[in-house]
Amino acid sequence: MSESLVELKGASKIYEGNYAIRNVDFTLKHGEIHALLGENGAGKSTLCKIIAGVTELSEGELKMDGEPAHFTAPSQALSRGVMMVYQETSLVPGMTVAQNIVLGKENILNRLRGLEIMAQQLLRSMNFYVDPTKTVSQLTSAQKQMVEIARAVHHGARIIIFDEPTATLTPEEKLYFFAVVDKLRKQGVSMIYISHALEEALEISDRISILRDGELVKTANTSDLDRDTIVRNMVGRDLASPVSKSANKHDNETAKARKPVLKVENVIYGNVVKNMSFSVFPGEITCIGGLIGSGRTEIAQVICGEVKRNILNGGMIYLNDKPIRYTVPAQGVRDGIAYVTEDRKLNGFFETMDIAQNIYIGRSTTPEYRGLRYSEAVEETVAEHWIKKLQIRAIGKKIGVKELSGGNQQKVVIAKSMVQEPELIIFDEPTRGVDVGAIDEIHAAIRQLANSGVAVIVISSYLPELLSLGDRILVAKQGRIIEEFSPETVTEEAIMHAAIH
Amino acid sequence: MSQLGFIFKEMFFPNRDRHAIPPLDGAMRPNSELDDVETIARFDVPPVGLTSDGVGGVYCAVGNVIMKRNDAGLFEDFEGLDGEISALAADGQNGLVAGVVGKGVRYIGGSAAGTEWTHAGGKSILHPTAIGIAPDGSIWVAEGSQQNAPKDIIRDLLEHGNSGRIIKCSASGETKVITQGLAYPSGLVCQSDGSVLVTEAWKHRLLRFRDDGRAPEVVVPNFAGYPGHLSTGIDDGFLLCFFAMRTHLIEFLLEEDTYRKNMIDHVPPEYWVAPSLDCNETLLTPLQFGRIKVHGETKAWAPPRSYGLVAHFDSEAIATDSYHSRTNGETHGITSSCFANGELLATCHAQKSIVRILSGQKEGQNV
Repeated sequence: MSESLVELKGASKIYEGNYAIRNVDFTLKHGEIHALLGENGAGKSTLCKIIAGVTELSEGELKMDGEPAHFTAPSQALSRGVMMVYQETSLVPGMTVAQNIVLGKENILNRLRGLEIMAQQLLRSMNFYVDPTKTVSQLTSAQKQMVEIARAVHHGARIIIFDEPTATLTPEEKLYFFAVVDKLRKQGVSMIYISHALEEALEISDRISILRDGELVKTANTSDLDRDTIVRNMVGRDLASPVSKSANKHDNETAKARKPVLKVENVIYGNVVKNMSFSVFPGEITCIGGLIGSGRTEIAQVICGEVKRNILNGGMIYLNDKPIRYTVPAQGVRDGIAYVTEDRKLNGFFETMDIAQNIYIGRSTTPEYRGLRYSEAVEETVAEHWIKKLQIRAIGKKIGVKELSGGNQQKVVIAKSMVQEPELIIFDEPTRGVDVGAIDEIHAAIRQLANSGVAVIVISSYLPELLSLGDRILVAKQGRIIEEFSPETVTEEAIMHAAIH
Repeated sequence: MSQLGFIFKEMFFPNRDRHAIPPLDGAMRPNSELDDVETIARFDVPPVGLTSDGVGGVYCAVGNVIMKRNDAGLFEDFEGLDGEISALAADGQNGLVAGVVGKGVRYIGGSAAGTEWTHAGGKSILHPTAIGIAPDGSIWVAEGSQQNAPKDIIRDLLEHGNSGRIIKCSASGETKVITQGLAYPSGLVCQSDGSVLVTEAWKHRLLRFRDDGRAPEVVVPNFAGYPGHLSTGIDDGFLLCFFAMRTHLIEFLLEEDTYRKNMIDHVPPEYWVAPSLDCNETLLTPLQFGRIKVHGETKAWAPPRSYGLVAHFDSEAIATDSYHSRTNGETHGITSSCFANGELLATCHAQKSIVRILSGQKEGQNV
């Protein structure tokens, strides 16, 4: 048996004449966790997709167990024990957890009860508390992740490829996840781990490979690397810090005694948001932290009209002292409220349209531009402006947004909202699944927006982001805003303490 | 409020003002500045009515005695009266006006010494809570309640007290009731333009009165706490003390008439579900199902039963600075405050003390 389980030699993949990866040599050893790092569009996903059989190599060769392998479909890779856990989960939402676990390896006739018992045993054996009879659409993203892992284990995977597994997990769930990964490693499973959270990669991986612009920059043992070296290799330049702190800070002190743009008063929405009250001031970035499920996203959706608060005792929302209660988001857009969703793939953009079309659609929702007129020239100039402003990078101009990397997709979503010239803009997890370099650019864009007088709400689970971006940091817990911190004095521990207790 | 009536209102008047508890943000963002203050005097009973005469004299009332701050910065006896003093104002010409519980308002010292006002509108002035001296020399008095003395302030809240009055007293001994039926006016300050600011505690608002027969103007409609003592601030602004904060629990309690009535009738006052000016917690203090303490430590952001808050507002009644002692602090129940010689002083009910919040010119100018 050869030492490496998977070996890529001189691997290249060409999309429309552009190299997505170029001449990459990569090995995965038995029972190791190999972290794959790089900026968005560096080619990490492409590399993994080749190993998992989703796409084929253009040049070079792929070896498994020392023998040349050629996969034309994921099922072929799966039969060799390669399983990929995608960033946006690939489970079937309408089927139950148990059904999803066996999917792809099911018998012709299945007895549901037996499946459920098997699934229950499998999940419990890995300490996952997920009800196997629930349909996947009812699960939280962390639970979906757990089901994906259980599925991989059930399929007897020898190689599991994780694409951003922790992006949607709460800190507590991350600990769970790491324990599972550790357990799998002890069972001899090899793992490829794609992440933007460098700290995590440093914590759990054995080796790290860094890709930049499709080329392999460095492969080394984790113990030989530190954060700064990784960032330098990833970006090709030095970044001050993950998110440069002082540069994003508010610079005028006049913002002190002023009128709030938005006042939220005792808003109640189901049993998710309970008596939430806070205000948002113009020209300031109000960050809302807290655990997932603390009602942060829901209050944003209530404000912008995506969901409706309770009719009885639902509380009040005032926009510029005028009470608002939207039935559809269009009314919110008309009043100048923009919401940048946390689930960009589902709600953020039209994935088959190109960048310019997506941005133009955002523009056409505002009152000034409503109507049936369509101008290709305007579309092009508007798109050009925003592509330049947010530094959106794409291989081709006319490709669908779904082809872009996570960070560039996020920039398109942001551009689509910013083009509405809102008075209040809500960013929900603006940098989830976005790499270090793009985080910087997105943060700079948000800060610029606030400096131009727009009231900004940023909802984030990433604590360094709260600290570096926020002018005020609110912490939500169990549907209430329980505490406000000032970013100058607060620590990550204090925020977590407030969010948990 | 009947459930049907409530549903009717929610359906047909969804945009009515709910008078909800506003969040403490902007300049009112909680800090712990009141916990780091210097205690400059401590007494056996809580001091009240801290006042400065504007020319260097600082007075306060402790029980039946008026105290004056001497050159060494210590408080010493100035004058003893025959009843509990509940309000104090200084005219800047060695004269003091004191409100005595059950006995009315009287002038002490100065040129008008001995002048006394005991009745207004055919009723005795029983429970003065604040006194202001207008630029024209007239005395404005806030009477918190006809029924409840200032020490029973919480009972007045739970009984939905609305028997407060604003009384204008002239130097000749006459009195005029400016308004009545207020929900516990607890602070009063005369402005240089002749208007008078009054806090109405149980309605959580700030009113501006003028002696022209017109209805008062609502300056601030909704505070996050129960506004109390008012005094002159910087640049035509004012200082406002909040003796306790509103919480959802108390707001709810105030709507539940039967429960509240039973509680008042059957439970000793110290165990009432009610705001408090003291923070000495006994074992029996309700901790609200663990929402207050975690790992044996009191959470700063827990719903406060007692709280300390002094805030400065500018001439447009927008908060510019605030000093807090939160749930985990001890400088609670701030009953009065004033600027004197560049210092910001306050009386703390919970500690029975006088504290110095700001000292010296440097910080005073920041306010």
